[in-house]
Amino acid sequence: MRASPPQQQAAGIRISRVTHAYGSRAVLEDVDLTITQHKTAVIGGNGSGKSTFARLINGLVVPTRGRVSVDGMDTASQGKRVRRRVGFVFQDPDAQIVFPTVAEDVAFGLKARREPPNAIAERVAAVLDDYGLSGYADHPAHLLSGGQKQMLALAAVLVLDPSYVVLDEPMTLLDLKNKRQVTEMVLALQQPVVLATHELDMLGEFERVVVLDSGRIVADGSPAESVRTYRRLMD
Amino acid sequence: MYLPGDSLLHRAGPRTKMGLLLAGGLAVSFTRSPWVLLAVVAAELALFVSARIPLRKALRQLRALAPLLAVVLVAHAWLASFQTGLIVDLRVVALVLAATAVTLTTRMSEMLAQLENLLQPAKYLGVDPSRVALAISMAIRFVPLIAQKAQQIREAQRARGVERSVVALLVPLLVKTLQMADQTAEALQARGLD
Repeated sequence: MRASPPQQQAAGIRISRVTHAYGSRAVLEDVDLTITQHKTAVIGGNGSGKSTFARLINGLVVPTRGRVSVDGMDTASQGKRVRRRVGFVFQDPDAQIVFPTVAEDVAFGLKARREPPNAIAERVAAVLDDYGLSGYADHPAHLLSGGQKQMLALAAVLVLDPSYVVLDEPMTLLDLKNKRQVTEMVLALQQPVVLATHELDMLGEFERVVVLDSGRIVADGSPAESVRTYRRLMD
Repeated sequence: MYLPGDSLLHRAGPRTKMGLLLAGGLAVSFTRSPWVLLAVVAAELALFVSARIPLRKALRQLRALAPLLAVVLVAHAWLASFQTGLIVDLRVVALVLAATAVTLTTRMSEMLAQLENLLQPAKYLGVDPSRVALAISMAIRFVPLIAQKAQQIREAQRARGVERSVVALLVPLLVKTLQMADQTAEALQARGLD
């Protein structure tokens, strides 16, 4: 069952005056925004801070300065609770898949939550079916195609019914056909989505697009406006 | 790696199979008759057929062991007797086939659950059985992945004119493996394992 936002807490993702640095190198500077939209994309050139931005949201990265909260929960002090609420899909599915076979990997998160075995088996079967992997339950994960691996990574996150889904460039390693398939799955998600991406084609479906440049927000608005700014930056 | 099926061997519980593997392994280790060992090997091959496991899967395991088996046979034939070498080789073959049969008909998750149960007493020594099971599972998952990375590096080196260099292979492989370990630790954290 999907975790519902706790009452009397601000719903949504709040990033307040956040600066983050790796050593002396600042990768995000004074980022301040609230995400309440259903579909939000973050775009920017290489090294602009997109991946760090995405990682801030589920507490994989804790800000050097400022505060990030999800439904009122601080990612620094309540990281574990935040991560139960925020599913995260990585760029390289190989790093995310930890079990040798498809069904075992999808079941991992449910087992970690100590769900009963029957419920796990049912949920895993249903999710594999949703993601076109039902014939691959006992298939070795390393023998899947790139697109199937990314679908598996997505299935392994969504089986836990997170309240939010954050994706860090999930289409980068995929061919056109697989990109299209993953894009359709992402756009069909019921949960609010934050997507860090280079794929401009799919942004028309998003309500809000944030553009990062050298760790700062340089545009934040409709897809058309933000993409115009991004293209100007890249020229 | 598990091959799905609904044979008797597939349906048998992991505890039964692992218990039989242990008992059978001990019995084989003390058997001195080559005929009995040959009969065990034949019975194991029949088991593969009954479980609808292609025999080439079993033979692939043995092919990898063939040089070692040959060395053992020659060494024993030279130092003791040919029959002793044959007995040792047949024991190894019987054990490898039995372990292969269990591996191919038991899901990794079932084996790990058993292992986790067996390791429960270790909790009192501060060892977390679920972490041990996860570590084993990840080791198995990452073997083919690291082999893939090694192949990619070897191809990249050959494209740049380096045909054989252990250093040119091992240094980038080590770096990539450490990077992968970092990413995986992050992914485990993201998936709820803190």
